[in-house]
Amino acid sequence: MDLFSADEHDLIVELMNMGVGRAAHALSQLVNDEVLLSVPRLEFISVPEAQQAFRKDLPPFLAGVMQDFEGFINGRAALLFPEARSLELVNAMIGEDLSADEITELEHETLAELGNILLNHCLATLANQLKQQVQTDIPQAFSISADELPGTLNLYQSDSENTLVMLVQIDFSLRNSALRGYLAFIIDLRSADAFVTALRAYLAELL
Amino acid sequence: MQNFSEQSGSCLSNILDNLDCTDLLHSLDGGVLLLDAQCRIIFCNRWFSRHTGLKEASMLGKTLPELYPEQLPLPLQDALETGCRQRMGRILSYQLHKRLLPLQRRTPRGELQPLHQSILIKPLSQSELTLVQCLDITNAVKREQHLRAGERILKLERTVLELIATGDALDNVLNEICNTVEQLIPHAPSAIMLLDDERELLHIKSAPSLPSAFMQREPGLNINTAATTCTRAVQTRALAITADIHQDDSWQPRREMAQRLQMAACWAQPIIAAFDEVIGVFACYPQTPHSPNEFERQLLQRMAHLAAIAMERHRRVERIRFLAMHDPLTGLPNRSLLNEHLGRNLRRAHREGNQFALMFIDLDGFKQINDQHGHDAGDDLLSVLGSRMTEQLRGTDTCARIGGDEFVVMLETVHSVDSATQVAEKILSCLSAPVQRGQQQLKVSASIGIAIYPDDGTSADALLTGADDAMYQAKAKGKNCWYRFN
Repeated sequence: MDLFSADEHDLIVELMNMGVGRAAHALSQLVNDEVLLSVPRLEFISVPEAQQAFRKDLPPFLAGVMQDFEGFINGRAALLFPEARSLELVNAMIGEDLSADEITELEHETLAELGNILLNHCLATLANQLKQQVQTDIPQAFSISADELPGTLNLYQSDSENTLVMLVQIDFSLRNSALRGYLAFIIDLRSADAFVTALRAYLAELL
Repeated sequence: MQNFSEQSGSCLSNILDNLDCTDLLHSLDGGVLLLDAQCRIIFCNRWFSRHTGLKEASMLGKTLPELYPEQLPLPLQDALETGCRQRMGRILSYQLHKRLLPLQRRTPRGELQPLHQSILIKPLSQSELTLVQCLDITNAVKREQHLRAGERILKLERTVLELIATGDALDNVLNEICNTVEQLIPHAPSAIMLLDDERELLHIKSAPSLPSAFMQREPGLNINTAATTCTRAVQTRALAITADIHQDDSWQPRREMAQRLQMAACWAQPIIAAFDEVIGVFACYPQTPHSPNEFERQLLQRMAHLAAIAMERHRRVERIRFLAMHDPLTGLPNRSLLNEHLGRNLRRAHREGNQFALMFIDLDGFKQINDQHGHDAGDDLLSVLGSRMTEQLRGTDTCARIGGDEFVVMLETVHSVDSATQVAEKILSCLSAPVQRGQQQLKVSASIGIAIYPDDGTSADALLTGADDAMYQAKAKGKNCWYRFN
């Protein structure tokens, strides 16, 4: 999708890296151990492309956290992991070394907080740097099959013509645990104008 | 259908319009606060007043940090700020924040206990207000703790069972069992004590977290005379509990030691092996006076059971090892064990420059005993003569039966050839003394060949062959005598 120029795209990547870096710092403080986060790839895709990418790249069962946001851009953001590894991540966060069979409600909450910190920092950094406002709802953790993902993310309900998906790969590393997840930002394109304008204003200021 | 939902929809909106929202919030089973953009409380529901013990009026207009100065964890303060001021929804989960608001709840028995909680902070759209929801998850925490504890026991049990299965040294296994319990019952060093063969004294076998002074504290607890928690466990074959050592008279003689080692209580679980035999005690010494709860009782039971399995296995392995290395008839070492001892002694003699002696002993006239009196008589005779020979030797010497009526004696060190020949004389005389078997008197003699290390050979083969040859010389010289290999 060529909604954004190369410069604008680079700027978004940079802002996401900044947000993820702040989230890593916040998480490190929370768990008293080093949390490393990096963004190896970021792309803007359409809803059909997103569905294809999910089918291709994601494992059949997922755990995740989603949060609605509104402000200079509107939509729904989600953090997604292979379900089999989500418990490992929670255990690494709380410093336990156990292999429970399934994720319990307390672990869902912990996962929700992890996603909350990550998504909030990304969105807040994006908004703050662009001198914009964004508001987020409370996070919801879920465990679903990959087929249910588009429904969960509201991809069907929203007008797919007017929806843009920002898909961000994210690598976690925490206490001997390393895993790859995805951040998906389902952005209502009707708000994209404000996004582009803000990006251009930011770039113009740099020059 | 559509009609119905339309109707019920309009009906619902009518109801909602007439509903007192405040009343609804007050009746919720969970904490609800409404905060303004400056984090000040503008509404708090009854649940909140009930669990903080504060009157609603005293909370309104205040921020939570003002209500609880220096009591709120930083992440909560930060989340409230980002929620109210920056409009970011937040969740604070129990597992990452064990302490959030200082709330308490009453148990069904009326006792106050800390309320485990998670907190949701939701900025309301189309309003400056922020909703703070406090969820009581105490029961979920209990369930989770139970689950995790069970899992942890299983995992540790598996580790211990693996150690047992792979034949790890008994000491390691028992130490691991103690470590396991100490992980699950913190601040309570533990020890494994075993009964001696006479089943009189309890000896400490493993206590990885207790100072070695404790291990050597006394020759052992006499289960018949010493009345302590541990001996009680052996006698009653059940968990014995001393909830407070300083209130228990039976601990009087050991109170000073208990104080020094910070032992405040003692829980002793008997270790019961096959055939209901009590073989020892698993003891746990909490540093605060109290009795074990249900989980701790179960844990003690399971770990004592593991210790029993480890002990059983150890005994069995020892038994198999003994059978593999000894002659079943006489109980003397067999050729394998002789070879092991001989090899070890050769290396030692070489290292330390010692002499040692090897004697090959063959009975004279044993075949006739068998022919005349039967094999049972022969077997009995061998058994008696085996013991007689052993009696002539030092504990460090070896007397092995290596064939029908063939024995090898190894004298671990000899100062001179004479001292070896003196032993040979004694063996000759003890073997030629008659053996009474019922009405029968059985009598044999022996021919002994002697080889001395290093003069007569420096390898196991050379020495054994030399002693064997010398034995034939003794036979040729008329039996019932010894002959030194030249």
